[in-house]
Amino acid sequence: MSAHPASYALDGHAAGDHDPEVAAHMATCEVCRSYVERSIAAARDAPASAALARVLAAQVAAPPRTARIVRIAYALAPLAAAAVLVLLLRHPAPTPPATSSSSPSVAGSVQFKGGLQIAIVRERGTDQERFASVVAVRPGDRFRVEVSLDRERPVTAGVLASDGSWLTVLAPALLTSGTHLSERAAAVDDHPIDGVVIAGAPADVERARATRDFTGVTVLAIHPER
Amino acid sequence: MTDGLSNPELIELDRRYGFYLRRRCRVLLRDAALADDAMQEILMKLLRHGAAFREAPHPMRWLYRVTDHACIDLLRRGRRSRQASPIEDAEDLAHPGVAPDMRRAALDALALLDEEEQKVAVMTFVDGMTQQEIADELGYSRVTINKRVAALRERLDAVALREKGS
Repeated sequence: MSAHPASYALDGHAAGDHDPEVAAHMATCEVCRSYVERSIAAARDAPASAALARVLAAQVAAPPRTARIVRIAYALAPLAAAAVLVLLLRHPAPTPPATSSSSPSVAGSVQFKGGLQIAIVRERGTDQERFASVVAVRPGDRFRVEVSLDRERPVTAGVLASDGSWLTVLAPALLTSGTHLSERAAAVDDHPIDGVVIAGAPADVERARATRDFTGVTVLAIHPER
Repeated sequence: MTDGLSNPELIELDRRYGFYLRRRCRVLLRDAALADDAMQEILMKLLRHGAAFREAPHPMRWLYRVTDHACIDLLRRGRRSRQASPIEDAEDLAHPGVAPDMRRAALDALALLDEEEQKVAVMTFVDGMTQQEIADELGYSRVTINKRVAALRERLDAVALREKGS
């Protein structure tokens, strides 16, 4: 059908998989080289994956363990003008994989609400980096939540850890349209675990925390760095 | 070792291949919201049952088959609204070896084909695979694939003609 490598081969090459046959073809085929270059450019400019954040969030969405004692300590420490919250994250007990029968269904139930976007600004040493879908954290990291709004609306944001603990980083407030950084930062302790940042209208966030159903709120996944 | 990928493996997979899988979902489903649903289902499947990915000799090929299965399943379940969704951005990155009008006709007709035809149509008119590659993938002889592609081409020619006329 085609004198060119199949799309999976070209796309694999663009994604970084090395295939000597594809590489040899590319050396002599301007059309395929252009296709791969355009693919790489499009991938570089593509927005972050909402689906991945929702899948990871669903893992955190296991029913809360009521017997567990959750410790969240708020310790004030200087960080520019922001207060720093120290989140004491502990090693979680083994958690069974989420299933559609025992946890909120993922497909269709977890949605990004239009008009409210969030990102994490992670501070690691002197470096700052912004993440729009998933962020890896390690001991010593601090992060704040950036909320972007298309119109004025009441918003709150916080971090729900997989052990059920909750930390508010953006207290409920009526925010104007534009971009806002949470007034508080979360500091990651020596034993980070998976978590999810939840942002939205205060009532929706409260409900999402309680039910682990993320419909109507915006989520972003946090996981420990390997 | 479990049947599925770990969170870090899934994150790395999405970082490397996610864009291409999402693009494929958009091409096949031609609906951004539906493509997002498909992508979520794909990632969930990989998390639960994707361990074979670790051993896949051609990772993208393996992932595209998982993606095709999820998208075709969604089409079959009728959760689609493809007519209203333009695919210009996807067309812009069409495979260099496939005639654009046949590709468009294949995508237009995809929901009308049976499952076997859908696979052959995608491999031929979206992926630009050779008939021998398709035969190897589906476990048929090349002659069988040749006949199926010829029949498909006839059908898609009619679709393409209708498109030009409208």
